Amino acid sequence: MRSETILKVDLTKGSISKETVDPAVLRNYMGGKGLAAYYLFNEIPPRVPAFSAENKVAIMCGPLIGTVAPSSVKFCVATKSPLTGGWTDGYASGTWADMLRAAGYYGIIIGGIAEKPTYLYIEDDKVELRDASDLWGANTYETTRLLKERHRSDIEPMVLTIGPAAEKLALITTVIAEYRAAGRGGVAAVLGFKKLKAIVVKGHKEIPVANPEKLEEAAKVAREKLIKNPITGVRGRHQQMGTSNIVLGVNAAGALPTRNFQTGVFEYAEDISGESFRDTLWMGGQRRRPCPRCINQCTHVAIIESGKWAGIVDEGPDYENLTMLGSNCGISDKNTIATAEFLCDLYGLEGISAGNTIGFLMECFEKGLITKEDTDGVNLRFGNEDALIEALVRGGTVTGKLGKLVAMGVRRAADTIGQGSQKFAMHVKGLEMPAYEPRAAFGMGLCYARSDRGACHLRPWTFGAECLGLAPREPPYLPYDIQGKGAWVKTLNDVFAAVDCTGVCLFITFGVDAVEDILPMVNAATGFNYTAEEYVKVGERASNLTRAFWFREVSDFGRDYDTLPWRCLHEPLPSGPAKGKTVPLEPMLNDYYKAAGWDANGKPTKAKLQELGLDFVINKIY
Amino acid sequence: MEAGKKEVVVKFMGFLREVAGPEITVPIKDNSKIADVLQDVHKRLEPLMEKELLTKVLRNSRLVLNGVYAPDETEINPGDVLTIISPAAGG
Repeated sequence: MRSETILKVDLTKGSISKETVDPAVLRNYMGGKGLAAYYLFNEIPPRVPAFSAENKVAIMCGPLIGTVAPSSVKFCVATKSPLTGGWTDGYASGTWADMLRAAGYYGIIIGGIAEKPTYLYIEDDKVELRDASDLWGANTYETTRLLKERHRSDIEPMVLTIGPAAEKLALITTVIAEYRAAGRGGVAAVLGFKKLKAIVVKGHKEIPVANPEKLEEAAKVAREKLIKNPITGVRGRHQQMGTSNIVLGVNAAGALPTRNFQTGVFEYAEDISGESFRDTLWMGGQRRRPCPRCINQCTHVAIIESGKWAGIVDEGPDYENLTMLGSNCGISDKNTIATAEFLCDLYGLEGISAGNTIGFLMECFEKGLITKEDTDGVNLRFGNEDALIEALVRGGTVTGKLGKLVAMGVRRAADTIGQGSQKFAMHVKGLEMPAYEPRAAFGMGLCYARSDRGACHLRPWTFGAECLGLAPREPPYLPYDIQGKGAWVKTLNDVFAAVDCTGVCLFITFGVDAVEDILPMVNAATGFNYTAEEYVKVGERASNLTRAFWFREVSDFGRDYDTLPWRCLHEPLPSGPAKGKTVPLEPMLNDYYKAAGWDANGKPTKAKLQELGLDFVINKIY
Repeated sequence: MEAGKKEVVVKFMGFLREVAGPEITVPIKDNSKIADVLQDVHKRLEPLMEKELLTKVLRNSRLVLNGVYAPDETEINPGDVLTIISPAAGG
């Protein structure tokens, strides 16, 4: 019988225990999102504050991490969010999770509060809590460097850390693991509250695989498909421009968030396009820093060689950060955008939320709702490059009035500023909207409205099918289709939630089938022999459990929370192909609920919970 | 585009931009439709990429005529700009 070990860390007691995951639990929840949801639903007491000893953080691998499967690197970081008050989970790529599995661990559950700054040191069977007082206050890059120096031996240690923003409980913070960001919704701030600065891991063990030959066989099929695909393949769009290859397409579809979502067409889109980054800061796409075993190789390294930000070297920007820190703030200078992303990584700010919140504050400033009194003298106008940088520095250090406004995220900033600004505070459930304008792609509107962490662009990502030619020009895939969109989004949601349980990167699904090609690898790695239906059910189960988490944690949770910002529902887009559009959310939501087996208030029915084996949830939400 | 000529501008976004460049001009006849322009584009790009893939790409691409989505049977006139948003994927 397959088994996996997780670490349970109680920072209050300073204790660490090892636990074998029940094989039946492992089969039903698999890993990543599913297993994180299982543990956190059961181990976080109902309705405790996100900033409390009782709240916990789960870091969870999937069965493919560290194996020969392509892009098998994505691990999950989840918690009760201090930003939204509900569920949040995010995923990081890179090299950190490989090492965790090589140390013999599938995941870590962290609870309690340490007396003083602490880091977790893992070296195979040796697991210890150590003093991090000397690291408190250090930025993520400096912390990573210092811990690597301290613990380098026969192998290089892998470091996951929080930045100074999370130490100061900024709500829009993310974990940085080997220079890659993981998690939205303030997951890093929860670690900051717990005074856990970092997790260092070194491992020498073999990663368990049920059937290595079959896994190699299935991985080979997937690799060959990925290599041949014009998006994911050799010299494909990702290798040339990463996810930013879509900027011009999104702009042509009228969906590029511009000046706080006031429109979806940016007049300087060419200047900030993937093509433009490729031909300048990314040196023709030759400066890639790929994840292990990745064909896509979407991560590019920007080197700023001239101008006021000269000398900065950093990965990115990816599409989301590029857009939210670029067009959404009216910025068209590539060096400024790359610098802005660098600062997000340095301080541990989450770039989507940072760009969204600053864009909102810029609109408030231009409308006269806030003045230089509120921004510590910063002329916070759209397109002001120095103002963007200043806002990030202050937000990252939670300094002054402006820094506090940035750090609290857009919902709280709007509640603080008032004067009707809530109408253009672009969030769902408190999580800042990412870089697709939903008025130009109704499916994305539905995804944002009912995603289990608030406005999320990946649960599922329908934009490519709706507007970028990844599906036929027919219903329900067209951007303004309503009929059939709910059921389609529901199916995609479950499939991609299943992928989030496996440990492979979602981006391989641009080149391979998310079920037909990934399932054989999962079965070879686990020996669980899931049918396709069972595999998708793992995703559906995880999504219903996270949905139930919201119902348990938020007393009045329901349909009213599955909504969009006022602007998306009531203010027609002024330009582009979607000119005049608002999102007709309600009929799509009805269809989604029906397809999901949820009632009219969006609550999973008892029958649905029983069907998914979530009987233990029923008395928690009914 | 030359003045007086019956031509439309076809702009490419996404994958086809790598194949065909940012834009081309395509001659049209009276009463031409978007579908006719797509056929012309198909012929021009055939030597540059696998035919089956090209057919699929053009079948799936989103079509924006003068800034508005338009179905294949829409009439197209000289001076019009047809933007073909061909496959691309991000996140």
